[in-house]
Amino acid sequence: MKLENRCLVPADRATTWDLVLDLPKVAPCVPGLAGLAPDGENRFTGTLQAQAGPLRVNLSGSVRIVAQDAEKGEAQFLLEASDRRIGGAVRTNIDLRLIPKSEDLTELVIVTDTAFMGHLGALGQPIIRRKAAAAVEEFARNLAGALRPAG
Amino acid sequence: MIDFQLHLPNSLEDAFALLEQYGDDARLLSGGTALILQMKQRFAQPGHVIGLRRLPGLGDIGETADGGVRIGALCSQRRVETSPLVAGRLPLVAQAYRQVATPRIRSMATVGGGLAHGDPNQDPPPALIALGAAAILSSAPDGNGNNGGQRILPVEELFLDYFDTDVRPGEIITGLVIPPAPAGSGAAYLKFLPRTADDYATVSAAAVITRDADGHCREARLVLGSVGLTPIRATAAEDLLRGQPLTDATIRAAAATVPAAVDPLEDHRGSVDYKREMAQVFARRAIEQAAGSAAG
Amino acid sequence: MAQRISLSVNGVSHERETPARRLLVDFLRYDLGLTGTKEGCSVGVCGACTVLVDGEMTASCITLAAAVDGSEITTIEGLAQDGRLHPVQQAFIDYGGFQCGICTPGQVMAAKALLEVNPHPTEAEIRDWMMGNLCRCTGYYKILESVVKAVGAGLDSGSDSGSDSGAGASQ
Repeated sequence: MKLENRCLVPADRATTWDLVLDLPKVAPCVPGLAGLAPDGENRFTGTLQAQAGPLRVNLSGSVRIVAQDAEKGEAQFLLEASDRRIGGAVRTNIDLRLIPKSEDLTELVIVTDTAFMGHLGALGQPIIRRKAAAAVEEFARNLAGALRPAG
Repeated sequence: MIDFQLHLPNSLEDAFALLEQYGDDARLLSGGTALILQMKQRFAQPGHVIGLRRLPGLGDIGETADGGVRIGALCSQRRVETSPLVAGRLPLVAQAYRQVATPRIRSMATVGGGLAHGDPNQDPPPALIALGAAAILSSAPDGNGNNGGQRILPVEELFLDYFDTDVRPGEIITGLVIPPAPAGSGAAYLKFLPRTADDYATVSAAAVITRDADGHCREARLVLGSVGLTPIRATAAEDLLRGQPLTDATIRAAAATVPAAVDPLEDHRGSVDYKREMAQVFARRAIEQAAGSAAG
Repeated sequence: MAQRISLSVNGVSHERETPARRLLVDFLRYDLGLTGTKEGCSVGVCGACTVLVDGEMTASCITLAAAVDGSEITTIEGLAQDGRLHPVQQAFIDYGGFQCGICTPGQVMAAKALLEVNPHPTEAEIRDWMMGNLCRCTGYYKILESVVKAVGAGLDSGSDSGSDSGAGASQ
């Protein structure tokens, strides 16, 4: 399932880039993400809690920075996680693009392509789309908060 | 289904104690038509299931002092549908419960369980919201700073999100209170059911219209089901009707605000646009029918 | 987790250790050997698993056996009395109310439940009530006719229409 979400954050591209590519630092901005720990080069493990309707998902797995190009402002991540209790897993390719809008405004384009396996496939796509969009909005709000100059 | 421990408390106090003890790992079971299905699909995997069927005194239907109806949470939906008291006082409620699934499911499913389920596709909530009904949420004496109290929560405020309700940790829905229908009011619940008779609605609409002495609309309540993450009250339509003569033009103008008020999910019953349009059509018909039966 | 439960099934009481997750349909079929109750859709929709729990029509495929501990259960095996079929069973035989037969126990239990709350239903009421019991052979006209005839035969008169080759309705 492919989703594209966009959001604006109040910082220039370089500042935004430095934050979003520093996964331990950006982790608190990701709704439901916890316990992020480095596990080899450009790879981190952690857990992600999400709820869509009756289904409460506790995913544990890893996220890896597959490619990054600071000049273009583009990065690719691979997220692989499973919920053993539910008996399901996700594999998500995340394409992130940062587009400078002005000196203190950057647009994030987040394209996720997710394969749902096992029981996670049983949820309806429309509700997942809606929840994913809401999660990205929350991420953007958190990110904007983190980027806003203190004081 | 993942294994779990089943508890069958004999009193509300014991049920509260179990909820307190097991917290997030516990789910309440009444008729089971929702929870057991979710557990079979592994959507819900509680370690503890607290069955409520032995709790005394929660299965009755009675009248309230103001002429409304009070329904115990463990009352089956079929009992509501067939209750002479409900049919006499609040025919809209009987009609809405009668639309739920099949007689077998209605014999199993309970009023409280249906509310706690928080499924926006159910039939009763739009009718209950249109009538101004409230859920009774009970909790143990030391819970949330109350002293063993009851929280009376309008059904309109119960549903927070898709399958998510404002039933707080430690609370159990113990009843439903529905005020008497306003004098001079008419009501309708319409369920658009193009597929099979036991399906969820593609869209549903409940309307309660009260006329004043001139026959104008004094009060209007319009609630749509199956077209959002929760039931949706169409307040813009209500505002356009209030104080107006109930003509074809005013009713159509009110219904025309409905597509913008709803927020449907696409599924095998129809696209988002189709559901928006059907919501308008069924809103109009529900208002017409309610207005037609409202006595000036 | 296993718990000790006690159920009265067709008037006979049974005590068993059973896991909490044991569904009533499995308890009846595998623990008690009462295979008349069938499992169709497993999600409470098709009606094949219909039994009565304390007189109420119930989908045994979404009911935990342990959750109805202490209840009285009636299954298709409990309808015949003293070797005489229930009038609904007899009518299904006499009027061909089944084809492959898998939905039949559920159809019969649903019809019996209807006649208990409404001994003289109209055809429309029968249709409305029986809509929760699906027939994969689509033999609905004959099912409807069978229930209509069972109403005509009356619940008091018992099965007096001759045939006693009625085991088909419960297997």
